[in-house]
Amino acid sequence: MRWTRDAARAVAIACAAVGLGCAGELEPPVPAAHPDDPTPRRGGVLHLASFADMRVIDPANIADGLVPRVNQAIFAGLVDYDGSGRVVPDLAERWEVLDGGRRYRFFLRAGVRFHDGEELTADDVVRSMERALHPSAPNPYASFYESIVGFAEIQDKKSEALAGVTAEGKYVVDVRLKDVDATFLPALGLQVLRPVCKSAGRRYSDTWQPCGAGPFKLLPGGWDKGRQITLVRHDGYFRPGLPYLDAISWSFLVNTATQRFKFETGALDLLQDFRQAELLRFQRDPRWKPLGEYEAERQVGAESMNTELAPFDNVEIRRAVAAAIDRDHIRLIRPGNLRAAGLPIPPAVLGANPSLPGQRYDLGAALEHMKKAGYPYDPATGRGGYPHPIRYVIYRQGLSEYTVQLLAQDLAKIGLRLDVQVVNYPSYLAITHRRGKAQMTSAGWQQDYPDPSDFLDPLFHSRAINDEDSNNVAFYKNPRLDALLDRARRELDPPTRQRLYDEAQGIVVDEAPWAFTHYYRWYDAHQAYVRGYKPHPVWTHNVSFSWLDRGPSAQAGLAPRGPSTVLGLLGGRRGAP
Amino acid sequence: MAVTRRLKRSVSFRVGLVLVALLVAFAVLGPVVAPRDPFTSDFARAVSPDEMPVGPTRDFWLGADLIYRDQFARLALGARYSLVIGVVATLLATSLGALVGVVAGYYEGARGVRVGRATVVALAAAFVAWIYVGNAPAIALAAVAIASTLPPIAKRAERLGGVELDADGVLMRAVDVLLAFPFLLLVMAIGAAFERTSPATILFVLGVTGWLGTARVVRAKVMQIRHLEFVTAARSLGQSTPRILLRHVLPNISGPLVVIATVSVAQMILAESVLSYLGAGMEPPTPTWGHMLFEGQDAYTGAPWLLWAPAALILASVLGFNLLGEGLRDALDA
Amino acid sequence: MTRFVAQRLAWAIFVVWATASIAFVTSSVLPSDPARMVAGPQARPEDVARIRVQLGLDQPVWVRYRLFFRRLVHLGPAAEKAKDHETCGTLAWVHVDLGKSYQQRRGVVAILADRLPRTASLALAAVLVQAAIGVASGTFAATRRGRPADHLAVAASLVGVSAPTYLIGLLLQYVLAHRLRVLPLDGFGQTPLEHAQSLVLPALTLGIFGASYYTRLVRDEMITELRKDYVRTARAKGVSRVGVVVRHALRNALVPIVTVIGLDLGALLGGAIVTEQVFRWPGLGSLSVTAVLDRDGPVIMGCVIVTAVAVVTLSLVVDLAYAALDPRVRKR
Repeated sequence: MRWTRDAARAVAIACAAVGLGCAGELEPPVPAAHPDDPTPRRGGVLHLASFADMRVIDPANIADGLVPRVNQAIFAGLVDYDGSGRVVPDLAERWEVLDGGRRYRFFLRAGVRFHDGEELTADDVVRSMERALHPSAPNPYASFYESIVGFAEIQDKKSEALAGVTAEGKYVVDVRLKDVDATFLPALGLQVLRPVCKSAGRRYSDTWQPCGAGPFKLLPGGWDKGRQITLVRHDGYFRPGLPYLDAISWSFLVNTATQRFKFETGALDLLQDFRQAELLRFQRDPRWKPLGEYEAERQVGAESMNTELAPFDNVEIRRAVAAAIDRDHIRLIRPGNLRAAGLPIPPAVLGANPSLPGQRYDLGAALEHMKKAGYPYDPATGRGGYPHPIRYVIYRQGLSEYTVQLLAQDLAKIGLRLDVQVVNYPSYLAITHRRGKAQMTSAGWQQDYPDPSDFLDPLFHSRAINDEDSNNVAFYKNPRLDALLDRARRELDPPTRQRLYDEAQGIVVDEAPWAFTHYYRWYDAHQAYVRGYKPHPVWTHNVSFSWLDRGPSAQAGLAPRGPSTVLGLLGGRRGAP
Repeated sequence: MAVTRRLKRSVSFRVGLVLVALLVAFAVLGPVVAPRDPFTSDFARAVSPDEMPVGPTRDFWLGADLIYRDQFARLALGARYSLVIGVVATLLATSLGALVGVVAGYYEGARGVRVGRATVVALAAAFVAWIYVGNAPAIALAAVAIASTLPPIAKRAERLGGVELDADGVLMRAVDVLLAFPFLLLVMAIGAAFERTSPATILFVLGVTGWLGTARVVRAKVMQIRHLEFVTAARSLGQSTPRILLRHVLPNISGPLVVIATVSVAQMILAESVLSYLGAGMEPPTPTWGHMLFEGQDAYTGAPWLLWAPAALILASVLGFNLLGEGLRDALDA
Repeated sequence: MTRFVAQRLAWAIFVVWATASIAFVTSSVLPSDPARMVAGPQARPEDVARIRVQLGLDQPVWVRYRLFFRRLVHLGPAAEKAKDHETCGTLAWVHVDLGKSYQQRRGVVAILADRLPRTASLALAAVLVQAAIGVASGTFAATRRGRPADHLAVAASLVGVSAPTYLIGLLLQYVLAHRLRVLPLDGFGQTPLEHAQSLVLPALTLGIFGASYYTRLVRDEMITELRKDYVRTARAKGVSRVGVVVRHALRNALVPIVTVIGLDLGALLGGAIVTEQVFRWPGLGSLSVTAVLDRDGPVIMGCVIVTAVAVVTLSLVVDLAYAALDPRVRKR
């Protein structure tokens, strides 16, 4: 019987090793060398890492979440967003709005150099736009620019040129629109239409070496796919003296735990991919707390109710659901990243209005709505409610796998039963975008460009309803809302526009095609010696104009672990993790 | 009886029996004694001051999970699901494997349908022609293939040899194809066909993928038994084949089959956890150990109890069934 | 013998073709849209539709099936990278083309050429680890049958068989990489040295899991061998104990073990899905998982074909080796 005891002991040791958890203390942050000197210093390489990977770098094919971070350093556009998400000049010095909003005239800076040394002129701007909107490009965002004259023709292959975009001289570009479109400028701030070097040619190709007019350039061999990319300073960048950094380097497919270790010891300069427990630990540590900041919330999470299918064709049931969800509990699934939500547009998106009354938890009101809907429910006896189970579709291994379990508990309290159907992600997309399939699904939206139309139009306008690829997953149709959204889209006066969108949000909140549950926000921690870095409302990890103030002693490297750790492990340190 | 005596003496059998008995007791009694409901989040007591789930305490014996439910209650309920899945999937897979293995083994070497070489070559050529040239020559060649199966031509062609499609060959080739087929794609395809992953899907997946090894072993055993005197005697007495298989062959492979089945329960419990790992496990909020282990993995820096508790249970149950199988094998074989 | 080889070869080709065909049809009829996976969850229907046309997904399944096999093996210019042959792997005039990945927008042949050596090195390392541990501890246990060392080896191997690979992997990862930080947590690293370091944990994980099985196999085989007459004779003739064990018994016991090694290698060459996931080893296993999750048809097909060829080839080799050793098999 001896060996059974040995085996048992081995198992016990193994379990103890796993059960120890991660030892608590964080290393102190690497200090800045001259914390009181605000003058930017030149030089140095900034190191970033990500859990994910990136496949193609090309403004005409932005397919991965990581690409915009790299694109932002390589490509400069006619316009960009400032720190509050407003559109500001970049390659264009200024622009004029003509013909009552049907024509935009951009005046380029003279003498801007691409990375290959060639001058950037109006022809390059026209060529790049045409290249990105030509149907041979696998551009997932082309339709953002459908209001440009000639867009339909080029997409339908009736024309090879984009008629509405013309060079009016060496430094002047005209863009004509079919109709007044207030979303044109906000969408133009994206990277999709940014000018690319002549080497890119007139048509998209998968083998092009990225080249633009941004502050950093990619040298041949600088991108080791699936592992690492290094961008070096573009000395001909049009803003004098910028950028300060010699280079930026991203490592890909790096485990969150590895990132954390590297960040702690100064081998990484910014950190965003936290595990939940780690994030809370960094936020609690007084030495690290001042070095962290939340990014603007750009993502809203919700429960979508299919308004074409029973019981959600009844607005009272939808209102009941919206009032039954305890959003503070949802937040506790990931307290470091979630915030309770009640409005469709996250507070940090330009044009949001957090002061509007949103959906909120009120169990009494929810029961009242159930009664009005004709399905009164008595919580004391558990009698009544909607008699059939509601088919709820989610995908595997996402946040929604947890939110639905809380939702089911909340809805049970008002007499609604969920029949949860878990599918894999591709099937989830197919099922939820198809008409008449799912009664209820977990849904969400992430800002493409900072404007209320980016949230409300694709999600709740009846034009976004399709039999197959419907972005309006609630299949919600309301002529009053449609009219408001159409008017707001054509309204160029900001205060009037804001009023229209406020009213539109009011309708969505009240009619509740979606019950909003949470905003997702990322937490950024940076090193004390990373200066001039501020989270941006559109671009994640926009470090193009940051600078490093790092003492010579603070060398990167992992602290070696000595025998004491080994003994600690075998000794089975228990207690609080 | 010798077998019982050997079983009683076998240490592995005894340890395995104790482990399995403990787990069964946990599955039966656990949900009854658990002080909390496995499906209800407790935001009053399960949230620590750091806004994390609480660890093992007097209230929550094995800590709370990521949405603040009692892990002990969930593990206890999960024991029922995991054990039932393990046992039922084993029954499915073993009976399918035994059926295929017995048929293949019994008919091994028996004559099947002979497909002439001309037919095979013409069929292959028709396929290649369709791929590279076009429909017309493909149809022509397919016609040749059909023609060459017609009795007068086929008879003349038989001297040239060809492929023999007998029960054994066809079944074993099917096993080959399934073994070469990627497990994950199969899981997804089945999941997609059912449109959801319910207990039935999981059992189906495990059953469909789990019988291949059994079939091979059973086939080998049957091939040995087939030529033994009592089988040939039964055959010469004119007993029907199903009767021979049921009365004479099956009882003689039941020993190895029981061993395979016992070990297979362990394999199935493992496979279910791998399925959860690959994103094809049970639907929430139903707890299974495999799925709980998968969830715990993400949280092990902050809430390690979510990882080690299901891990220990999976390890214990797999070990238990393996030991049981070990003991049975020794007792039946030695 | 030639006839036997030819027949087995024909079957092997048939098995690969059947597997590939089933996989093609399966992945084509899954109710989901690869174009949507390329365009992203928020893409508008117009953009999704355009990408669908670009990928050729608007055509019926049988047209795509035919195109796939026509392209799979075709003739072309011997010079590499001629236009229209960008995604080909060439062997003089014979081209192998699996098309272009929807997601990565690179030739699948090139992607597989990146991944296969990594998976092969992992498979080889794992097989070496499990064979080394298995043979050593199995022999050790067999020569000390019934003693504590034997029980310990058997118990350890039972625990090993009972633990899922990802549990072993997580444990190793936690202890060696997370706590002691002597090895990288996961990934592949940047330099050859880092590649080697990153290989250790996944190889150990697979190795330990497999070694348990090998230990039992070697132990059983050795016990049978050690009971045989020739061992007694050799001992009587004065050959040392170690000499008998190593030179005679082990050599005879190795035959079945080599068979198992061959089959294992074939299975591992398709990629160890779970282990590669745990350690994010960029091999075929993790490639096939992402491909299936992204509905990246060409990559799925590439992985299926490589897996099937590996399994079939290795079992063919094992069969042939058997046939060469045992004339009775050849008759089948």
